[in-house]
Amino acid sequence: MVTENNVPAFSQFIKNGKISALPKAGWLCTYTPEEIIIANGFWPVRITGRQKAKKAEGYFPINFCPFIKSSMEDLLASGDELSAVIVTNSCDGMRRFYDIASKYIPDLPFFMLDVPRNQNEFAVRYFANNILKMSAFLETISGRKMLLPDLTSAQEICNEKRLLLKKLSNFFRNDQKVIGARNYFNILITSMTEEPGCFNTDLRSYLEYIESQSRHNQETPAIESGDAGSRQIPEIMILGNFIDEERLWEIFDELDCKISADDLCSSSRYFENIIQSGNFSNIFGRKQELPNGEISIDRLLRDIAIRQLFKPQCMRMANLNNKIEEINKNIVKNKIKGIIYISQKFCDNTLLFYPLLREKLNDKNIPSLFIEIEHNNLSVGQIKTRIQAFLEII
Amino acid sequence: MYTCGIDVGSVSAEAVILNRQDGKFEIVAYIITPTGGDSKEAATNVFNRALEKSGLGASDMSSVVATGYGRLNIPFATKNITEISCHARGVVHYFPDIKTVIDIGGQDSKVIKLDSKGNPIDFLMNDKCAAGTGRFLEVMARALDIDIRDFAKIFAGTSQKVDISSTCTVFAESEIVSLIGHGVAKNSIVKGLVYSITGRIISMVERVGLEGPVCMTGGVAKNLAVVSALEERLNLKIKVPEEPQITGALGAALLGYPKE
Amino acid sequence: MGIAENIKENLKLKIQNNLDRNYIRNILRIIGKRPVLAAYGATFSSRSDKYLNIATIKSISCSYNPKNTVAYGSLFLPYEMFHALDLAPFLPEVMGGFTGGLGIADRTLKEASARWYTPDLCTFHRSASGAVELDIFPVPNFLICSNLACDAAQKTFYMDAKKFGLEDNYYLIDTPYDNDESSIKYLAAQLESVSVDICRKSGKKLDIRKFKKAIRLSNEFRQWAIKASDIRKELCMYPKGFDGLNFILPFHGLAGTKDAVDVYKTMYFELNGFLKKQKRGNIKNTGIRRIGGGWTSVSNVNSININNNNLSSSSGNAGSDKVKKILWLHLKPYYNNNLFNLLENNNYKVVFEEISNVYWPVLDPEKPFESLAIKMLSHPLNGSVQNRVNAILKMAKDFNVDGVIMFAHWGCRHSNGGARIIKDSLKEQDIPMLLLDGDCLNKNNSSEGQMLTRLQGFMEIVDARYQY
Ligand SMILES: Nc1ncnc2c1ncn2[C@@H]1O[C@H](COP(=O)(O)OP(=O)(O)OP(=O)(O)O)[C@@H](O)[C@H]1O
Ligand code: SF4
Ligand SMILES: [Mg+2]
Repeated sequence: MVTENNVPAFSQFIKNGKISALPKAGWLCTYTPEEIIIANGFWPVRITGRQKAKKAEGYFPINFCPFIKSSMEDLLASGDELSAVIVTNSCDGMRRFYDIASKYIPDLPFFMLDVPRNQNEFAVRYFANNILKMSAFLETISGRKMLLPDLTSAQEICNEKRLLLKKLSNFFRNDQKVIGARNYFNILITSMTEEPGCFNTDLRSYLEYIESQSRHNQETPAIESGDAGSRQIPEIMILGNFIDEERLWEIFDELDCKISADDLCSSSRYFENIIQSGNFSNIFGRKQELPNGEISIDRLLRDIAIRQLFKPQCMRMANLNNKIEEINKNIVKNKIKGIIYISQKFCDNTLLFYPLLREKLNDKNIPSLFIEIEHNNLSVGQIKTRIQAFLEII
Repeated sequence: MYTCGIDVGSVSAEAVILNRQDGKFEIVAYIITPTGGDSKEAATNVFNRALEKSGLGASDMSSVVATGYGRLNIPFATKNITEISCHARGVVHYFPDIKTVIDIGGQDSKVIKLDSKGNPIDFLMNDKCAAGTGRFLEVMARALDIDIRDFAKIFAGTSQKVDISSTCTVFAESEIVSLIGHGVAKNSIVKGLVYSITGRIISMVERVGLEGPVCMTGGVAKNLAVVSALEERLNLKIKVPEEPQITGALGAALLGYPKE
Repeated sequence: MGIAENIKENLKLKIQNNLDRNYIRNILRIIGKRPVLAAYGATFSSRSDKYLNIATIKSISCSYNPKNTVAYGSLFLPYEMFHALDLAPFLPEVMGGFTGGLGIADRTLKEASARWYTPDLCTFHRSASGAVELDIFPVPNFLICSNLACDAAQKTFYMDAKKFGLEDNYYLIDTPYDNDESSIKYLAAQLESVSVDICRKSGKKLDIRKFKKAIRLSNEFRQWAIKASDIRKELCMYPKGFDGLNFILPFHGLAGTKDAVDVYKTMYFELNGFLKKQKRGNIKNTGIRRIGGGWTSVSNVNSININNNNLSSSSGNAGSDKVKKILWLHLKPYYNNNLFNLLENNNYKVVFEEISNVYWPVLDPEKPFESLAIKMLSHPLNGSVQNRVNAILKMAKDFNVDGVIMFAHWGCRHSNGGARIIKDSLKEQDIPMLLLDGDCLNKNNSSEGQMLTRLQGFMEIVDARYQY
């Protein structure tokens, strides 16, 4: 069992954070286009349900998404640090979250961004129009108009962040023990809450440090090669919705396994798919609508809409076959031996995908472990036993 | 003029005989026994024993009001009223200014809101799950091999608590067994349990909206560990009647008096 | 038990013992024949009920008939479109509800669990999925669903499509959040393209005249439904066996058919007859809200009559002869239960149901897709819960209700998730609301004792608001 990481945690590298004077705008779902928030002069902060739900319990039924309850608790506790919140119409839970938060926290402005479930031309057009509405909402709060340069520079920031995170995740895959699961998932959460420009700078220097470290490590002969090298470490994929549980990631650090792919609302679904303006217009096999090179806000919004709708998809989307295909590709590419499927309790979209996925995985002889958790309320002992047993099986 | 209130709950059955003289109420006798398997028998039993204790006869009672989940099954009752109205009425007898009543019995927990006159205007009951009720505590006490009456003492002397994350009785029990197996001190498990049950209650209180003064009734109100944890977490003092377990039966007896 | 009841119980038993698509099809073929159907209809004492049941049997028979092009549809779709496309609709959620009444929900739910459907999911969906897996439901040609009201159907339908190898014939009508121009455009475009696609796959041409006809019938239905509910604003004496919570299909699967029109036309005339009778009988229907008052009087807390064999109200309680009007939200338990007896015995009347609300404007037959899009977007369950609150407040006011009961069906996220706001909004209008937790299908998932205590407690509170 290896519990010690070779590199210090990322938190020690955060130098630039918290100094920005930008007003903050909260967001919840990865379908929210962060670049629009940045382009309108806000610091996008993902609401991650830090607090255990107490007061929030009073607003929701017992059998309701625990992540949403915690998010409500966050807003009740520190909503006044935010200037606005963007909610998405991603699921029934979020729909009610918007209703309740906007009613019982009346001083905080909320915007509901409708996100289509289909991936076709109608949906792209409709979504691009909604993104425009979202921008208009932010404009009324900031009191200034979003201009083309705002948007292009915001897009650069977001793309850079995505590239850096992608790099980080490759590192993690290749040498999980160096970075550590807990550290890795923490960095991801930080990437969603820190001021983006500052975060990029910090992560860049962190990545440089890791690179130099690993170069150093390669030069000095490995000590553990003897017994670890001969044994096969099971390569697994983690799949689920919004999972941010330090103690869960610690379990993975304590056990002998390799997370070779992860597909969570709080991981790759956030950073995969980089916008390259113009390239998406061909996605429906049609000619580009605009002559090459001509960039306008409309054009960028359309690209953003496409990027969002075609990124690794959430279980809420209509075409579940696409999702299965995505997962299959991942399995083949990363030689996955088993899948750990983790869902928040009461999340119908995620939970209802499992029967289908399980069947498909069975056909391919890939075992899967199903774990339901309640955000901020993990039964560590039980879950550890289950994960360990699963790893022993595969 | 005498009335009798009978509360047949899932765990315990109570009878209260009440006398009104010159507009003043006086409890003449009361009885508390376990309900056992037969709610009708339990009702007859507490009724007879209360009569015996008071030296009165059944014919002296101008009304017999039944409440509790066994209320529908008592042949000699003149009417039946839910625990919701009865607990509210019983509480108002002791503390006229109460706004929120928390009744935690064996299988149900209820939060009742009262208006300024003491009439119930809204209430909430726990969902079908037993976590958050007296029975839950009893099962856990058994798993810990601790007398439930000692909870308060243990709770007061403990600063550490473990998190009991399971909200389901069955899982919580196995979680506790495994905690004991891992050598976790019983004290901190008790504390964790009390926190877990109060968490349940608090979320119900949040749902109806907290408004003081608050009174607690039912058998679990005798569990001072639960009462003080609730006080701490709701950040207010909770009033408890002298014998909280008879509140329902007392309310039933009070509601048995006709309009003046 | 009368002969009719006996026959029905018998049929139920037969189905229970022969859970199989073909068996059900045969039974439907027999009952669906004219004389048998007429005889079946004659077993209902209320005429509206009779029409409803006949229309329901007809509709289900069609969906079990392999000669028809069958389409699974989720509850809140515009069925005018199905009928215009000559699709025989089959509504798994509604039929999931029937499994409760047929006493087979235990088995369908068990099957769903065995297939890894989460036990926390609403039982309408879960039972329907179990029934599909058990090969009880008919084989579809198309599966159309929407996210209107909730997320569950789009997922379960996909699984069904997979089971039948029909992923390409699965359509999700993605219902936008707002009711505005761009939403109407987006939704109408989807309805049209799905219609075109279905026609193409069935080798037909889209016949816009059929859309116009369906929409005209839908408008006609709308008119009768409004007239019938207007009568109910005054009515407190109902035909025996009448229960508004049973009238689900005319609003959904039957929308755009002559049958739906007939059911509601019949209902209007039947209820109107009762209203006349009621007026002649001079039934008391007024009461004074109790103002203030302490705890000293018995009549503040009337003894609630719970004896279900005895339909008359408890004696000696002045408060009990006034009929108290209840607005019912969401659905009800479809297995045998005593909730409604308890209400009835204490002079509480469900005077209107949320599901009977005509929420959409007159539709324009000249613009079928746009009209149907508008109909969907007008649904109070779409978008913000404020839409639903507004609809509920209006109903509560129109029907001058004394209280509102919301059945909190276990696992219904969208409805229960909005309960707090609905309750608070009613409270602002001084209307008490009971959130009655339970499960519409799964008897084992709710405790009847607890439900009755809650209901009785609520009646005690409402009764206490009156002074005589
Ligand atoms: N002396 C005591 N100390 C601590 N707890 C006690 C004591 N006496 C009773 N209890 C608790 O009270 C519970 C029983 O409460 P009560 O008698 O009010 O229930 P009930 O009215 O029968 O149940 P219900 O109202 O749910 O039908 C027991 O389960 C136990 O946890
Ligand atoms: S867990 Fe479920 S309810 Fe919660 S945000 Fe995700 S999809 Fe929505
Ligand atoms: Mg009790």
